[in-house]
Amino acid sequence: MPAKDANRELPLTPATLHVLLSLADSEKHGYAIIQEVAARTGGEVQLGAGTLYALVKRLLEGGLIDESGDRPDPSMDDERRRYYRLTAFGRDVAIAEVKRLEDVVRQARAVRLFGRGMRRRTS
Amino acid sequence: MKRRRPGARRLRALTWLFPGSVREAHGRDIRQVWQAQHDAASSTADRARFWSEALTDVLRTAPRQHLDELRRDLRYAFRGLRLSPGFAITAVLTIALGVGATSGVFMLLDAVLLRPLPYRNPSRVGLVWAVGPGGEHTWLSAPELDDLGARSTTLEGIAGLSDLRMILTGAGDPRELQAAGVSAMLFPLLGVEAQAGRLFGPADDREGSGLAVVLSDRFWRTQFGGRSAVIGTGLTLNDRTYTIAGVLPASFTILPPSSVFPAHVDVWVPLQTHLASRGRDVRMLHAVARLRPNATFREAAAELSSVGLQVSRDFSSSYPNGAVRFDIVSMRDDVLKGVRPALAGIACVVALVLGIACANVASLLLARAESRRREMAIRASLGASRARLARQLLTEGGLLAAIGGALGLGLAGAAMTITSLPVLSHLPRIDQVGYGWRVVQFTALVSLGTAVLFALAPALELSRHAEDRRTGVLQQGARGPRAARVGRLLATIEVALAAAGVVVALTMALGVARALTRSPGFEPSQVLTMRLSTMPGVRPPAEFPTFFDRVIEEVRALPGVTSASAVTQLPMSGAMLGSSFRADDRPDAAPVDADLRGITTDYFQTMGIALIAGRAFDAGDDERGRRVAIVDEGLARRLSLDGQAVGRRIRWIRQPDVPIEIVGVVRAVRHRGLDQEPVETVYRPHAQYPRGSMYLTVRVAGEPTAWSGSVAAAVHRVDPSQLVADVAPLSALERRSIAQPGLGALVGGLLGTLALVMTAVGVYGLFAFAVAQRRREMAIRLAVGATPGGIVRLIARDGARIVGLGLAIGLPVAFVAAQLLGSLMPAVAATGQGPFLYGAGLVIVVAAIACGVPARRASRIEPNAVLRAE
Repeated sequence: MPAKDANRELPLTPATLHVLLSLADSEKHGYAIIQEVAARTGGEVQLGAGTLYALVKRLLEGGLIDESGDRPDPSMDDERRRYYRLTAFGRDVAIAEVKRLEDVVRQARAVRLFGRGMRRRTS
Repeated sequence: MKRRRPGARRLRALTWLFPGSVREAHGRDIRQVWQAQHDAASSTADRARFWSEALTDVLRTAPRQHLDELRRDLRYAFRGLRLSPGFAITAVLTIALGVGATSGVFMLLDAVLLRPLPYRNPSRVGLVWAVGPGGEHTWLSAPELDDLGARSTTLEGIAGLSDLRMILTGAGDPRELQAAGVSAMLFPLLGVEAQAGRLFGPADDREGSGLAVVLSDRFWRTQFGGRSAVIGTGLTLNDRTYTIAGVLPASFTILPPSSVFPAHVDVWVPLQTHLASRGRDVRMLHAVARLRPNATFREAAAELSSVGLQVSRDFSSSYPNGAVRFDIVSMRDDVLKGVRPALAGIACVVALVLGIACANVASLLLARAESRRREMAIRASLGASRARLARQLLTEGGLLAAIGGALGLGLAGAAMTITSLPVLSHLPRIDQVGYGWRVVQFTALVSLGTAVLFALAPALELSRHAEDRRTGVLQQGARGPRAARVGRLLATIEVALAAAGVVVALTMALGVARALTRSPGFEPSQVLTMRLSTMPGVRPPAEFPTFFDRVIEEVRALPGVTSASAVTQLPMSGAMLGSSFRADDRPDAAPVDADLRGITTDYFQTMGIALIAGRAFDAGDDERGRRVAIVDEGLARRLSLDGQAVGRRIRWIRQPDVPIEIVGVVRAVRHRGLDQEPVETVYRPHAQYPRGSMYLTVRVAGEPTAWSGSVAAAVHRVDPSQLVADVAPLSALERRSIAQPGLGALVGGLLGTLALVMTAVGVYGLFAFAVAQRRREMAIRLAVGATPGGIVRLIARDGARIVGLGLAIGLPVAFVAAQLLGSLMPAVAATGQGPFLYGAGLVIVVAAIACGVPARRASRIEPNAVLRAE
């Protein structure tokens, strides 16, 4: 099977990228993803369950993530939960998207989008 | 046991907003997330925020998921149909034919009959009639109209209408216009407003006020190019100058309240100043009334009845036949009354055609479901739920219905080219037939309905597939007994529907055909007719007879003309002059109603109406001679039991002191049309009954229209200014008189044929499929010694059972339908058992062919080849 081109999946929506990032270091179940995204963005991005699972469905279909099975979460009342993990392709896509964003940021700097005030504060 | 956590039930309910596939894959996960968030909310405010956020989230994401699902289903369904084009095309065409036939009929009926009339609150508008001795509706006289207006409390208002012919001069060649005299309050009563200028007001109804005329939109556009500058200018009608007051809106129509009222009117004039007579016994007004807000038609009819009694008491000398009765019928009912039988017949057959189409497609889908059992079972075992598979099948059905429906709508539109047929031109609002929202909505509804109907059988089948999954049945075997039963049931229903449809169609067609072959009582071929109206003031009534005599003399001298005459009303033109006569030797008996016609001497000879007894009129029957009349055989029988009418005396109710001697009896004529019974008729010599407007009837030796020019020229040699109108062969009138029943029979016949063809396809499909499924069984039977003939008999027996049962159900249904039709349509009533025999025969023959072809194929199976392949 020929390798899928990660660039064809770009650009990702911010929510999609956040979900992929939350799975980068470990596999997680849905609620953990929501919590992780909220924590990492300081509460800026709050995913609803409907939104999350619409994304999960699409990411599963696109082969960016897969299920790693059903098992209890000891921290969550030991109820059985379905865990998801990033696939190699999903990782490629996330990396490609981050590179794309870096590129965008570089271009923004080149055209001095941030102006002096911005530079003073960052310097 | 686990305790239910707080909010769990509501959370579960919320997940139902997602499509099944999402619920199946992630429903539990979603609930778990919600449950965790719900449990984490400590205060009431937090919980409220959770619920609002969860709900917003679902409402934002679920619709898109549904749409995605639908798109996927549609894509899958499309692919499925593309992979089996034979099935797809057959199903789509079947639906298109069924839906198209239904939509086409609806399109026609909606424009002509069903669409509300363009009046304010049209359901409260009715027609008021006087009731004749036989219970038939007849017109009102001017004083009666006034009485009803003054005495009724249930009517908001009542307005009279009378059709007139007016001659337009001063605008090119003189020509005759269709006019109507109407009470000033007609337009306000209907809630119609002028599109330019004004309509009539109370002042227009008064004698002595300036003459006003209101134009129809059509006349305004054709005559004046739609210029509003003509408002206020003059128009010369019947040698008098009228002021153009205004123009009616284009949408305005007055549905002809009876056959004598024209469908299209050019100019409208105030009634009061155009009344031919104010006599209480001269009944020639149609009346339109509006109910008061709280009154019903039933109450109004009861009140009008009692007004009739009062009026009869107050003017008893004017009602020698006893009390007059008045009646009111809602305009819609009145309009539908005449066409309801044909309508009912066509609606029946259309419903049957649609039913057969549904059964056919259901049968097709069922066969397809059978051959897809394996696919379904595999999908089910891979985790597709029953609901998911049902949804897929329903999407397929919906897709078929949508494509078929759209195609059907196109077919219906194409079929509407028939509205330009000349025979239909006299139907009201026929020019408004076309696509509209109502038609599209109707078609969508019918398509949806059919989708539900024909997708039902496969959906039922689905429960079996679910069982297959449970029992792990994956092999493809012979058709299951249950599917075979459903298939047979569908075929039986189709045969029943087809039998009923064909019999009803045949009943209508045979009824009309019989009417066509009946003698009209005269010889219509090779007769040219034209109307000669005398302009007011051109010649005094005393000179009418001489004028027509001279015209006839001139015409008779033309080469190729064998006979010429004139008559006041042509047969089958719809024009009647109802009157009453009393026999001198039976003064106590009630007067006899008869149609009165004035004729010139050679009328019976020209028309080919046979003289049964006595003599025809001759030159001696002039205004100085003895008053004479000729009656038809029907009236002769009514006047005296022995039919010996010649020599008897009768009196016309309008001139009771003048005795009229009957000098001859002629064959009865179907004056009202071929499908109607003859009307009793009294003929008077025109010299004793002079009329300014008569129809010339000329018998020629060839195609009548070839003489149009020379006959008109002969008329103009007598009077160059004489108007010649409505030139037509008599046979055209005869044809027109059966146009409506004929159209009904034609449409019914076409639909019946369609029903038969679709049933043939359905029955063939069923047996072809059954034979294909039973190849193995047949092969084994043949291998163990069955003969090919035995195989054919086996299948034929099966077919015979279906046809027998179908006929046993369909024929009684048809019988009831035919009885109903017969009670409404006299021409259909006496068709007897012919349609049933022919209809059953047709269905049997068609079914035999449809089942015979597969049977033959089955008998030719090579057992060795089939069994080796297995």
